[in-house]
Amino acid sequence: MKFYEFIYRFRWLIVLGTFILTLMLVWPIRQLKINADLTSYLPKSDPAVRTLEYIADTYGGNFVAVIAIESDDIFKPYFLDSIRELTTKLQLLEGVNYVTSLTNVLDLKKSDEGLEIGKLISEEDFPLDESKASELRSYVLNKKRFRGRLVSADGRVTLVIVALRKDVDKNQIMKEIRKIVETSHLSGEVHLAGLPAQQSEISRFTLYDLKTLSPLVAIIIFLCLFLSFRSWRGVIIPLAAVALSTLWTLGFMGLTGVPLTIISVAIPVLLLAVGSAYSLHVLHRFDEAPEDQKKRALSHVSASVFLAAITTIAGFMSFVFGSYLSAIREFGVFASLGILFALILSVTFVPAFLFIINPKRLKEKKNSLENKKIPWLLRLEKGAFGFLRQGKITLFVFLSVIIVALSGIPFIERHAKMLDYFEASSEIRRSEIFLERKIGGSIPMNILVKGDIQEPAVLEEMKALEDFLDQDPLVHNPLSIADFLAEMNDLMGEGEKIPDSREKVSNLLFLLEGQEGLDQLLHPDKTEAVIQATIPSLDIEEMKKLVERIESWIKQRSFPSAQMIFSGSPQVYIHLDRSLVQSQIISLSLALILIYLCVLFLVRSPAGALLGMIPIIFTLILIFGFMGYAKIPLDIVTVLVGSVSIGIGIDYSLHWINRFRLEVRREAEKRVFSMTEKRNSSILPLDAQSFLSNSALIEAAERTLRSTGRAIFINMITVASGFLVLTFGNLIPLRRFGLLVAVTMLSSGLGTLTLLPAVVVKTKAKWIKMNKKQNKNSKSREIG
Amino acid sequence: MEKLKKQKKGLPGPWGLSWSWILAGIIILLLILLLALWAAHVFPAQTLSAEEILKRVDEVVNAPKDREARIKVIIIDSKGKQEIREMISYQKGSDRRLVKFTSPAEHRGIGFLSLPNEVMYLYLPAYGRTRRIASHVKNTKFAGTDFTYEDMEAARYSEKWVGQWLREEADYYVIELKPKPETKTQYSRLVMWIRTENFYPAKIELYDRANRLAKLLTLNKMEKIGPYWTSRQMTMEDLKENRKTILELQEIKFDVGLGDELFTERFLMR
Repeated sequence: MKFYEFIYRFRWLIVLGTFILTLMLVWPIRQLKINADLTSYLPKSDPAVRTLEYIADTYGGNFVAVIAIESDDIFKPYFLDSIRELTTKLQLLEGVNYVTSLTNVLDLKKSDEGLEIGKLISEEDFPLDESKASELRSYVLNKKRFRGRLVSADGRVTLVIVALRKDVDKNQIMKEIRKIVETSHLSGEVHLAGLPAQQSEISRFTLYDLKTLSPLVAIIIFLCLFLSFRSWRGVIIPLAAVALSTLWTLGFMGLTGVPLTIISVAIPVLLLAVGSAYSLHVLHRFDEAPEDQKKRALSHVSASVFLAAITTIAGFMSFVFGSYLSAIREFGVFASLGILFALILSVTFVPAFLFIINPKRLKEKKNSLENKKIPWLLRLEKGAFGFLRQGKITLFVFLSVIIVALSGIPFIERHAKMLDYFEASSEIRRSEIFLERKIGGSIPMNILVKGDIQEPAVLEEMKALEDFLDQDPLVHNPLSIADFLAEMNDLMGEGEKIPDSREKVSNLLFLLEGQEGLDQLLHPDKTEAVIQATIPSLDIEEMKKLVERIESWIKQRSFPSAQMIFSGSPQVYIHLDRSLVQSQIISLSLALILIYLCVLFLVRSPAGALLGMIPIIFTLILIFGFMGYAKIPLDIVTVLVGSVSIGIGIDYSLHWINRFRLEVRREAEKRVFSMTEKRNSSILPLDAQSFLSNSALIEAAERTLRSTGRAIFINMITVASGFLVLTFGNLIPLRRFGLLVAVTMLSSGLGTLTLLPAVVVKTKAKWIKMNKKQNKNSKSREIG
Repeated sequence: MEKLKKQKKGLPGPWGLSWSWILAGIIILLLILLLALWAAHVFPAQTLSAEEILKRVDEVVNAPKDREARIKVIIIDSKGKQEIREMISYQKGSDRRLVKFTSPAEHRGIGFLSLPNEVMYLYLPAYGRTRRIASHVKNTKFAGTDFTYEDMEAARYSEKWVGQWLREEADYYVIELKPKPETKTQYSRLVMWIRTENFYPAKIELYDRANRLAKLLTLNKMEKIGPYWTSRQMTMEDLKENRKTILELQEIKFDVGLGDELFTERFLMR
């Protein structure tokens, strides 16, 4: 109560301070970056990430953008000229490690003039003449090292490979690469592919979705609220509070330099959908209360708002402690922060603002959906009463739903295939598929070889592994220094095989030294090398099998003189996948425990708390079953659904329980009063509970349904439609997330309105009897 | 009447021109002269044309009949890591050169032989075989250094390049070299600082085909050995890759009478 005195006294200061704080926090939003690099979602200490980055650092590869150009004219002089120009321009870009194209690729050959070690097309040969160009065509298409790697077997597609530095801003550089490609007068169709291209597309879509969907969600929620309350104030104040908390959260992300990820992009929508309920409660009670009791009413409501927010935060915080992925942890932190902001704003800014405008007319109240007799709502209510009365049937229905859902859970697929994030019709996905058809994939894969690379035995082992890789249907174009050495050996007249002595290898390496592209394959120390290859976009099962195949082969051969370490995005994805499942299990259990504790705090009965969790447990089973049947895979976004839905869904149960207890007390009082005719106590004696019959409980449950039930129903519809907006997004995981959370809201809402009352009435749970005074104490303690 | 008319037209001068026309001509000539003088003042007189300077450079650089030297090759990569190699170099005239690596042990014996008409041979001791290297790989880096085969050539600049006067700085002539139409080169142009004292180049900027400054060659530690000027330290910096190679010449001997038999495949294999 004192708290609201304070707010009343400093109402102007609070409103003003809120706006100043908002202005201060809006500024850093401009510095907000987007990070769609999945490898960065794993912690830096992850061994897969470490090797990946080590290879990127040492050999320049691994973060590779591919420009594929399809044309009939690939070997026409003017076309080669424009490729050369493109290559030079790209090489100049800051953040590019190297560029490989037909016009600068290293080649070894023997001609009438002698040995040639250098570029496939020598600088001085430009511009090429027609005859040389067609000569080049047959040369390139006949050489294994180029066919299917730089040029498709049909000679109609050529690649320009751009390796990026690992620390470079991929979005920025992809933008620059796009610009260069667009202005390069390439005659033919240009496709941009590779992980950096996919990432930058994800970033672009993320930003686009954020910009378009957030206002859309706001509009939907606005409409739902307006339809429910028919009051401008009842719409604008909650929306404003939620908008402010969203801005604050984004501002904090900008301030702390934490980038938006495809996961945290859901935060604004989440806050809009969830946070509006808090200020709505406050507004509601404020309007309800008579003039002199407004502050008192406010302190009452803030307790339940506080509890609702805390449970939601508990759901989000489960990610902070339960997830291996940094992006999910960040999501947990900032979603919690956002909810905290929404909570703070709804108990400070909203009442302060209300005190300032202090509306005398409250006639809108009568129009509100909660008090209106709307035929379809009444029919719904009747349906809910039916569920209540036919407790056995209700339990049976829900039980069968649970069984069906449970049997769907094993069908849940797991995905971390980035390509699946895009629609089938999207340009990036089409480019990638095109490339897979023509070249066999754009995603780099490396095998790090540690050993004395100048030793022929080591090179033989590398070659053996390459031959094995070459036979794998998924792996394409393996290449290593061993290939070059074998070619050189041939040029020196000893056949295309690994040189037979260390001295020969050393001599040949001396010749190759300093050649462009050599440092992509061999460490300057010559104690380490990589075998490069490419793979297509694979799903996690294919990747697992691939990694298993390769690793078990390596193990089986047990190379005596070298250590082979398989590295590349498959490893990262497998780690990502493994951690997804782990994250799911840990964060779900954590969320359940945290929320159980919250409910326990409210109802003070272990069994009662368990009962209160019935709707969300039902929801969890339903949602995972739904994912199984609807073929919605568990990915880095849908993995959030479980804990998020627990955190949000529990609110319904809490509201229902709170109200139900009030109704039970009233019912009991009524009955006690009618029996003794003179009881007039605010404290209900424990033994009075025994008077409560089944019919009295049903009566109380029905009244709860009529009051809080309606509010739950409205909130459920509002939040669900808010999340359904996400299904209009560009990125598929976000769409699925939206759909799943919407389903969650509906399920936990309906579970609370039907299943929970039926179970509570059936079990005649003892915790309902809890002393009102005790309850009050706990509330005032919460307010502090 | 006729006389009067003629007089009105002016006094008749020689060759049937009127005096006034001649006067105008003189004035124009004077103006041109003045302009020329002024121009000569503004653009200071060049005692030597760029072409002449370039010829002098060729004379100075190629003055010795032959040269024998031990060369220490220091390669410094972008991370500052150093690698040192040693070789012996024999050179006769401007177009014959033999290079043999002596250190480190694993590279000992590897040799290169350059002959006139861009004929090049390579010898790998582990194979015991020589191989001819195609001429058009000149832009290939030489043995892991920042010098390409082209840079290593002891070329006569005036044969391949057209010089153009840029300016004179304190102790240097600065001229720009553009390739002659028939010249095959990896560079679009060179800018050369030439010591006015001895016509020995001091610094050369090498511009790539996109006309970006790609490399920088500096020739330091000038020394006069006998009648010949020479640089004992040549540094080639690759500005794009941020690495450099230093060639340090030791035990330089000029005019030792190197025989022609030295510049053969047979000797390369020895």
